[in-house]
Amino acid sequence: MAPRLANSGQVTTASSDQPAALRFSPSLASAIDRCWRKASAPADWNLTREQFEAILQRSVAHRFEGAQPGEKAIEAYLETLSAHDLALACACSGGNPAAWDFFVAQFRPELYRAARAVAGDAAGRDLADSLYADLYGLRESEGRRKSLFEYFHGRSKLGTWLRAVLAQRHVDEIRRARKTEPLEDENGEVRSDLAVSELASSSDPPADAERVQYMAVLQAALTAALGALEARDRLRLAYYYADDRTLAEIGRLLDEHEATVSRKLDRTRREVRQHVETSLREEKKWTEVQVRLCLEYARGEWPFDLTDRLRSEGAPAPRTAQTDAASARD
Amino acid sequence: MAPRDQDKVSARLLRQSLRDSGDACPEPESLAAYFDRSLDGEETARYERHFSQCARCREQLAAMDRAAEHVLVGRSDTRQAARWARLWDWRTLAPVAVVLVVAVLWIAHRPTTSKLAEMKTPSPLVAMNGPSEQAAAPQAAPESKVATPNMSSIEEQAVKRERKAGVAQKHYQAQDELQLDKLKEEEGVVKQGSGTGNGIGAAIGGAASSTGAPAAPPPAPPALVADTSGVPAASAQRVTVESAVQPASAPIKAKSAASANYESALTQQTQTVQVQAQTLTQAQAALQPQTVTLEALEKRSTGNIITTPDPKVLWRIVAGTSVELSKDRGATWKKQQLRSFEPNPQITVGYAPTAKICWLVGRDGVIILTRDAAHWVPIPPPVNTDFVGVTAQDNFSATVTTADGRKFSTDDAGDHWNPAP
Repeated sequence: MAPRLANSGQVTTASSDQPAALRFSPSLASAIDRCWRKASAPADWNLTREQFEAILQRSVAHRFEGAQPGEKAIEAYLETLSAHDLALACACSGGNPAAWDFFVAQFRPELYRAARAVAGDAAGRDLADSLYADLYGLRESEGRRKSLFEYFHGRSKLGTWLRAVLAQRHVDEIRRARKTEPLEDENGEVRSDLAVSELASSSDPPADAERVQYMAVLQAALTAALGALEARDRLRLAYYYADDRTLAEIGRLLDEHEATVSRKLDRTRREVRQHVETSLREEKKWTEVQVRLCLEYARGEWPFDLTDRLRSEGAPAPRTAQTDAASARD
Repeated sequence: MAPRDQDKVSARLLRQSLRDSGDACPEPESLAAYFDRSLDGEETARYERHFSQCARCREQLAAMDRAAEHVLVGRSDTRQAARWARLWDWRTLAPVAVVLVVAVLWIAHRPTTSKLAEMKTPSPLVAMNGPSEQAAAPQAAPESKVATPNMSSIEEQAVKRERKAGVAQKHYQAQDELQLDKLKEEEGVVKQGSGTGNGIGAAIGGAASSTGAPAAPPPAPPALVADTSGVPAASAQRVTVESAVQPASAPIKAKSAASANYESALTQQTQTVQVQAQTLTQAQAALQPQTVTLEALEKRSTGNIITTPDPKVLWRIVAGTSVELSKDRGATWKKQQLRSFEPNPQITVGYAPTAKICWLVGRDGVIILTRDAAHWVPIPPPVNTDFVGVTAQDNFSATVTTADGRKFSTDDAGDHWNPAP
């Protein structure tokens, strides 16, 4: 039962889809005190220490859902929390006017600026307005006002979390629009981009059984090679090859220098190639001629497959309370 | 196969291979925590593996990156706009305008080159007979009437005259000395005759005392007074003495006149300089309030009072432990509620870039910030030490100074600190 803050500032409990809160042992009192001091919640936010401790319990339960964390793990987790932002989110979730004034003064300009950056000027304003309404909690669920702030547990800064929510909503909207794009244009003709690909595939020679077999083996070796990579190296490759991001963009996303990104991409490509060639030679027992032929086949036009293209766009997003809120809005 | 072709093969294969794994996407808070680098190593690796296989999550992260860039640019634009506003503020422009006016006035009233040349050219002088010496001249008249002239008196008066002139005119001094020698010889003859020396003495004494120095008549040598053997020749010798004295006094008088002219010119020049100095002093006095105000504004924390761009809004540090706010130029003060990780923060100094934003620093790593002139939040310090100085541009950017002189700057309200020059 997750606690909530009513407008009067009194603590009540209500049912929620949030995980059940943990109870802190007395040995965590000092860690909770440190969090409380970091929170520095002003008196007019009407947030007591007990209420804040309950919020911390909910955050810990959310983080360690399904696990039994030790005290050290909980203490280390509490140290990483953005306590002040968490206190603000909770006070705003309860509708406290002073907390809302503070939030508006501190975050509203950045929220609208971020929305414009994500979705453009016109769409960005709408995006920010809808998020603003959800943060305030205009909709009710199970008879009580539900604020999007309840889904903030202090693991990140509040500003970053707001940008993440904006980004998620915008990307999901784009993907929804992309999937509903008609195959035909307004004149009833097949879209030019699809027509080209269909033409290309139709002009391909009949499938070569040997070629198909070689490609399948190569694909399996490549998948195994990618699976053996470090997660970060794989992500770097994905940004570069799947998303066509520049080295500078990848550097910002991974907090690396552009030159570092370039160097590591080269190293990863070499590793993948060596892994693939080693796999083909040693595991499949292919000769050098067969390996070269396989790579020559791969140089040719890759057969276009609409199904493969849709699948590579990413699986549908899993349902969460936040996406439910977005769906209800739509 | 050429390396470039192999890269193309790899690229195509990689693009096809990096497909979605089907794992559940993390929620926005996890994405945000990953973006803030606040996840632990195991979680980071787990999410990165998912991101490498999920185009949706990568698109979200890229969108967050774009938004973060715009937020930083916006903050930078705000700071830039604030800097421009300060540059074109009347408190910055007013002293510049005053300096320009003073410069124009000085250029318009400065002495011309010819006048400067005149003042620099030395005039031939023997005795510097200035106004003080001319004023003292009447005093010499009665003295000369009663004084008994003798050589030592003349010599003394000449030396004094030279000293008062303050000009080492050696050739004139030498001439004077020659004249004095002659006068000594001739006066000895004059004193042999009684009464005749008075006129000579008066003449010499008058010329000598025109320098303004009251000459104390030395006692007459008794031998000269008593000796009357050379009386018959006294008249001729008197004339000789007079003729010797007159030429001696004439150059002295001429030199005195020249020195008087010099003195008057010098006095005029001094008066002109004094007038100019007074003008400059007045200009400086007029400039002083603006300079002090600007310095005070730049410092923003002189002693316990922290000024803001709004002259009505002031902060005050009380006993180093609390802060008060005034919105009526200090007529009334309201104590602020400070909440920090210390029960009694030791505050040393503060800075207020706006009327609502104020940074406070103090001992043991205390850094406190308010963004709305009401609520205070602790800011993580770069080092846990005593801070003695702070400046800030807004509620995100500030520079703190430690007691040992180190400086640290932040652009994100203390999330990250960098050493500052």
